[in-house]
Amino acid sequence: MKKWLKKIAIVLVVIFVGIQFIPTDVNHQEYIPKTDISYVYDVPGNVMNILQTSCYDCHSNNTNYPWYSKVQPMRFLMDGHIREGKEDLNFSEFGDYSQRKQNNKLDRISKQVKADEMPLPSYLLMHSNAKLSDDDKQKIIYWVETRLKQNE
Amino acid sequence: MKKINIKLMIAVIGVTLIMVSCGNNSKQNNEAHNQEKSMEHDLSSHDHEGSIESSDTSANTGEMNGDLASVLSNYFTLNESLAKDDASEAAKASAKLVTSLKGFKGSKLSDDEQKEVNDILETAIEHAEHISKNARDIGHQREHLISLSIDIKDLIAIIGTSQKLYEVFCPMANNNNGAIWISNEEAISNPYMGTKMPTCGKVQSVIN
Repeated sequence: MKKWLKKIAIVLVVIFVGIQFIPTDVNHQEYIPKTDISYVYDVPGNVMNILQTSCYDCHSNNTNYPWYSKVQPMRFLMDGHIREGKEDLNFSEFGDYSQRKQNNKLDRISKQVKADEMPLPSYLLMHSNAKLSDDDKQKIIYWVETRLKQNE
Repeated sequence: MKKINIKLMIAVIGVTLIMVSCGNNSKQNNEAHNQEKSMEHDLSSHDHEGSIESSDTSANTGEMNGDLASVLSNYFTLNESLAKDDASEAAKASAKLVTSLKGFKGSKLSDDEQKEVNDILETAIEHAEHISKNARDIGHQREHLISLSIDIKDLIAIIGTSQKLYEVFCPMANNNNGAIWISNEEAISNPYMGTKMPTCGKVQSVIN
């Protein structure tokens, strides 16, 4: 019985060590591209700070990786989230979106923030500083809705 | 014996972690560069997929700039499912709508119109994809229907249609901000409110 347990433990350790060598994505850009939302629109500094703290990890070309991102399988899950997040909305490439798509994304931002759908609860578990206070939410929603009216 | 083994395991894990994390740091810059490149590639292939270059079997009739019949028929099925509160049928109809939107091809369009059509198709496909992926969240599906319906309306305005269609407005949809949908019947069947309030809405214009 004990031998049996030991074998399982050894197999688990080998697997754990092995997966550390899986190649990972690195979402990192040295510069802020001209298509970043901060260049496309005149985003107030306090709103921009909120976006960078609470959204940019998954919705831009620059992720601020936490220490456990070095450990698999966490990194694997993280890479998937980032890939998906950027596909839906990438603030670094906002300027490449058509006007229709920009408006549509702004509308989605305001609705998702209002409904507490973003940032994702699973993300907030490990990133408590990314949690939006009521004041943060109001700032984002106010800016987005003003922007949308100007775009119309 | 047992204790030694555990210590050994911890040591192995520790060493591996250190190796991996150091390795990652030194490689980061190079990989970042490669990553950018591969991302560009990803994006362009994604765009291609969403573009309207793919083949289309529909024939162009009359003065219309393309045939929206398949797009509209799937869109109407989607609305009917939502009116019945059937999220899973709505998801299926929306998956078909994605296919017909991707296959749609306009004809005799000016450059400006073509660009507009491409923009509309891109966002419409995105909305339809979200609806098809949220078979368990009818609220989320209905949110995307708001924008999808505007895309469909704008698409009809450019392409034209042989069907008699109705633009219906419901002031209670979209959290009381109001929303429209396009229907092929004058009778109201509300996709936003569903069976709770099936006849809320008013025809605000007729599209010929």
